[in-house]
Amino acid sequence: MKLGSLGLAELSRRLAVGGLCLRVGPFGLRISADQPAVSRGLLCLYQDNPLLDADSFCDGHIVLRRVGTFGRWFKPQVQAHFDHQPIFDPVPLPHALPLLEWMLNWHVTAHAHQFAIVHAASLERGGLALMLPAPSGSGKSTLCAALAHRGWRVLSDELALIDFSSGQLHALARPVSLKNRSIDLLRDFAPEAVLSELVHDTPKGTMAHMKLPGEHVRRMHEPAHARWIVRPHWQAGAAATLRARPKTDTLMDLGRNAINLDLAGGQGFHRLADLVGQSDCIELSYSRLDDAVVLLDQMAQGVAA
Amino acid sequence: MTARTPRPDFGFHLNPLIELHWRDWGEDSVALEACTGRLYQFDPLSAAVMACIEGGSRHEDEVLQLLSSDLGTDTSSDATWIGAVHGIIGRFVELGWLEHGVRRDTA
Repeated sequence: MKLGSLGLAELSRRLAVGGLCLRVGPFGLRISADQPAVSRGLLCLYQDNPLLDADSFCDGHIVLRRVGTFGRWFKPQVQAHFDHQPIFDPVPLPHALPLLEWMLNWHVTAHAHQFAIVHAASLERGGLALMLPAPSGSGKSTLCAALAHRGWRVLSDELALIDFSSGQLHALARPVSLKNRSIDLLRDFAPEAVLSELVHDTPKGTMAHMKLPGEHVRRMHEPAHARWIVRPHWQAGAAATLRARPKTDTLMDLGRNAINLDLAGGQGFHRLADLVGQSDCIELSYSRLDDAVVLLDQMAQGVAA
Repeated sequence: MTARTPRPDFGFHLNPLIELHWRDWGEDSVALEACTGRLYQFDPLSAAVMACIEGGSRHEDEVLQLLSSDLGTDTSSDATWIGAVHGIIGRFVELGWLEHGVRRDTA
């Protein structure tokens, strides 16, 4: 059963009473919230994600709860809890949906150590995966969202999950986070994209999330082997180019963007190094999203790499 | 107090608390220091020096001899090589990866 089949009223009821058990890639999470914006956001962004039975095992229980006494009328805030422990400081009530997304990120980085986790977007095409390792603000989410509408399947927008034993990249089946100018850029690039309501004045500016196409969510259990590791580099006025990078530089990049290399130790290091060894390591410079997408398409077809 | 600079009259050995993992593709090398999860990038000479000392406690001149033998050229009396190896060992000592070992018997 998919979340979207519930309808807004039943979804809101389940969120408010007992919680909703949602499949998000390899994870099952119970979510409780009583903010209408969260209900609307989940229905918009996760409508294709499967629901788990109410008594299913879940990796954790995320609760978003309004806080404060008198202040709740003047400056309403919401606090996130994970398995009954408060996480992060309370945020303004209108930021509840981004807070839920941050909690999902937090859950992965804090608990999912069965994977090597790298701060990177990852996508698949023709059974092969593309990694875009880069820090926040580098434009990787914008590029990821654009590629999602040009034949690439999104595995993850923010956190690449690498299986220790197989080396394959797993899908998270979560929306793509867009910020500030990238929201309009994406709307122009892919008018068919489904975006959540805008949330203003977050610590990252104005935010919206892009729903993944239904097929991406349906195929969340199909991992893929890495074939390309591309460092995106947006530069005003730059012509779009692909340039080979040394593998050592690429491995250093993965290390800088790795979340749990201190825990993963030698096993994680050799897994990342194997990934680099088997992949074309490339730097993508660009200023126009369309040009970057064309170049990556050509790369995937074996033309430009 | 632990010396933070290399002392040529002492040998060097790997700090037993350090766990290193290496990977290279024929040029620079990348090493993971597993206790901290940090990665380091090294040029081929630095990686070769470290490989010599990972094999057992060495004095600087022994490292130079091993490199000479490996390269098939005499580097042990070349001031440039001596300076380079001394600097590399100094860097590893500073990182805490190498410790001073046994003092050479000069009697």
